[in-house]
Amino acid sequence: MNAASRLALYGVGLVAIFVASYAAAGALVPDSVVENWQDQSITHVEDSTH
Amino acid sequence: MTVAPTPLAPTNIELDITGMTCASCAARIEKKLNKLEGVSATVNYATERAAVSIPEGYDPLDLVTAVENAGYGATLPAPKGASGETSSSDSDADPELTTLRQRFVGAGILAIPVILMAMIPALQFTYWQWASLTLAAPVIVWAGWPFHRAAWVNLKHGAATMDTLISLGTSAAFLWSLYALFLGTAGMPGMTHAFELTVAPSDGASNIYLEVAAGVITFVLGGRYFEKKSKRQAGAALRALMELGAKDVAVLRGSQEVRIPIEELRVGDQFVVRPGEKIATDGVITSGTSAVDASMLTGESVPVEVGEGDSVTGATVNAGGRLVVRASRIGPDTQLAQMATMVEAAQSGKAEVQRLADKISGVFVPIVIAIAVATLGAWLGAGFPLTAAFTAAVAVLIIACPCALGLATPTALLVGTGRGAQMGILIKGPEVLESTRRVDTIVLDKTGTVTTGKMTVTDIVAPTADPEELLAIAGALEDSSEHPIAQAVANAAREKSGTLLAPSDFANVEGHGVRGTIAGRDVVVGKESLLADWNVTLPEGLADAKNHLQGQGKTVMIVGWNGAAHGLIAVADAVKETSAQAISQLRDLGLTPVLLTGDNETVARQIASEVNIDEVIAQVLPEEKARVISELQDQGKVVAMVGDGVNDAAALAQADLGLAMGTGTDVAIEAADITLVRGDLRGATDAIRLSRRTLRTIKGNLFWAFAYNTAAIPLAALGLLNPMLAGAAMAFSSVFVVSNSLRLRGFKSVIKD
Repeated sequence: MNAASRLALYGVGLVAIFVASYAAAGALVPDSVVENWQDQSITHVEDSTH
Repeated sequence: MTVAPTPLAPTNIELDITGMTCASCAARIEKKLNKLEGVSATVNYATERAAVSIPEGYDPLDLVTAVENAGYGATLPAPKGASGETSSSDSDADPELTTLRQRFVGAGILAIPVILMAMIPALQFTYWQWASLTLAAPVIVWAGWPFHRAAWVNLKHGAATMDTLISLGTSAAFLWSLYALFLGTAGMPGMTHAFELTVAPSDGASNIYLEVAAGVITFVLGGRYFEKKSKRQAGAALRALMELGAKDVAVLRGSQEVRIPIEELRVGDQFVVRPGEKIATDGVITSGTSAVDASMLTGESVPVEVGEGDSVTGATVNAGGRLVVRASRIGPDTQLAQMATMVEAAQSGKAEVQRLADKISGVFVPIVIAIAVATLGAWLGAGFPLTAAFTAAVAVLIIACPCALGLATPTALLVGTGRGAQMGILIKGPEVLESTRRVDTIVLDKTGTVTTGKMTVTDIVAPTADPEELLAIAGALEDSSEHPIAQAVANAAREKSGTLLAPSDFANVEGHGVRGTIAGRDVVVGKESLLADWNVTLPEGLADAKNHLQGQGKTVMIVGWNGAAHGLIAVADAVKETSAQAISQLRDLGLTPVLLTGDNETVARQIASEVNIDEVIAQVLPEEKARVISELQDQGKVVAMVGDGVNDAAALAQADLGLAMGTGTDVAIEAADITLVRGDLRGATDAIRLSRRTLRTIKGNLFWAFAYNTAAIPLAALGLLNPMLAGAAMAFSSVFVVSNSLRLRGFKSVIKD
């Protein structure tokens, strides 16, 4: 297999991984985790800049 | 790019290749060149040369273009006539090494403050982050350029190496830092990196990772620089080989001797070779008799008696009388030049093993990119903001690039070669310690390796005289002869009795022996035929002893005086005292010793039995030695070769691990990977143990270099990475790798003085 097709195949693989992890995370990670993280992150940034 | 004039021989040319960073680069260029119509090429990564054979009339510049299209650089070397001077000046100032040094020193000066500022909060003055950027940008862009370029070339070929990993990691860190400084909150006055190793989520846009990028590039450049510095110099073995030949020659013009440079000698010219001189070129003796010491070239320990009509080889030494030789072959046709071709062929034909770090990176890089993409997808899919998703994905790329990766191999090689040097083991191509697979067979050249390579008196048989007196008388007479065997007798006599008597009369009977008068006795020392001329016959007891000694491969001289034979002196190339012990140590390492020699089977078996070697390959012509090694390799064996002579050079280059005796010729030393300075075979045991230990250290280093950073990947993917954690991973893995390498300093020699 030449370089171009090998890279193309890898690219397709990456897209597949992206889609799969996007879908999986969307289904598995509850919204509360995201909200918690955002709250924590804001607090953390405020702490570190004060 | 500079293009030197087209070489003299159009069918076989050599290209100097630049820009290769790994063994697979060499393979790629080779493939590209071989695709050209009628061209066949081999590319050697170690010597950075391509040996190309092209059809008649082919423009060599097309080859240069083909190499450049593949993403590398190529130059045509200067014509062979000028190679002596140009190549030596080239080796003194390698432009690639100079650039590498400039980049390394530049990167070091700029990176140190960047790392210190990032790791020590006290140094983080207002706007320190912008000072960091100013200092780190040249390091990442300029000093790191070789990595980015190599990564790009590799990408075009759909491959990933250590360069890819470094380029990817440092570029990610740099681009992210630029984003954070210009678009995020990191550029705000008063921003500091808190000194915390706790894991806590952050939005990333307030952090910069310039110190990681600058640090990685500096460390890896440092490693590359030290490795490149100790890398084998192309053509050093060939130069040493060509220097062996005579520089000028006394040609007979009529009855006059005219001294001319060797280049002006023509086939058919008659030239004079005085005792002790090197024979200028291959030829046939037209007058005179002598003994020729060809041990340097053939490994044969006994000087060869030659007379009118015999062929002689250039670069061998005339040990006896004056000879007149008619030149039969000159320049590239001589045996010496052919040997040079063989050494070169063996060196360029040596299979390149992919470096461990590149091998690991080839798998690691695609996986890391996949993890980064998966991280990005997961964060976005879960509903996190885009910045946070990118922070995590980029953090994966940043942390994946292990700083210690650049140190893992070079530090182990550096400490290993340093420890080796202390023990008298000079490692010339340190990368060979890494690439050598497990050596299972060790081929030992006989003369000069297992034996001393010098004629020594081994036996004295004197039934009717005092052995010491016999030796003293023979030695006194032989002292006047320059023949190496005669010198061995004289030296032995001098050792035993201190001073030697002076003969009142002396005559050298060429090819037979010597006669003269010592303390009033008419003495004859030499072959049986010489004594027959004096009507002296050998008594039965002495004749039996003579046959017995000759059966052991020894050279026997008969000593007689006053009309009777009084005894025998046997001379042989004696086995070194330490050889037997060394061979048993090599066996303990799991190696099968094989004795290789140009001598006859009897001599070889005799020596082999003295040092306990079972396998003997005897009567091997000098040009066949490399073939014997490659045959063993074809049988699946991994071969180390120990030798010392010019005739061993090609075999040393062909072997997976070539070890030269420091007491041997420069050619052998240059062709080998390792030089055993002491000329003690036990050094070979140490060398093999050291190379195994170094390889083990490299593997351990690579494991830990990747382990620290791999362990941090999950933290990065979860968005918990901060610059302090990244720096800590960098510091811990580097310290670990360096201290692991330093343990090699404790390596103990088997030689107990």
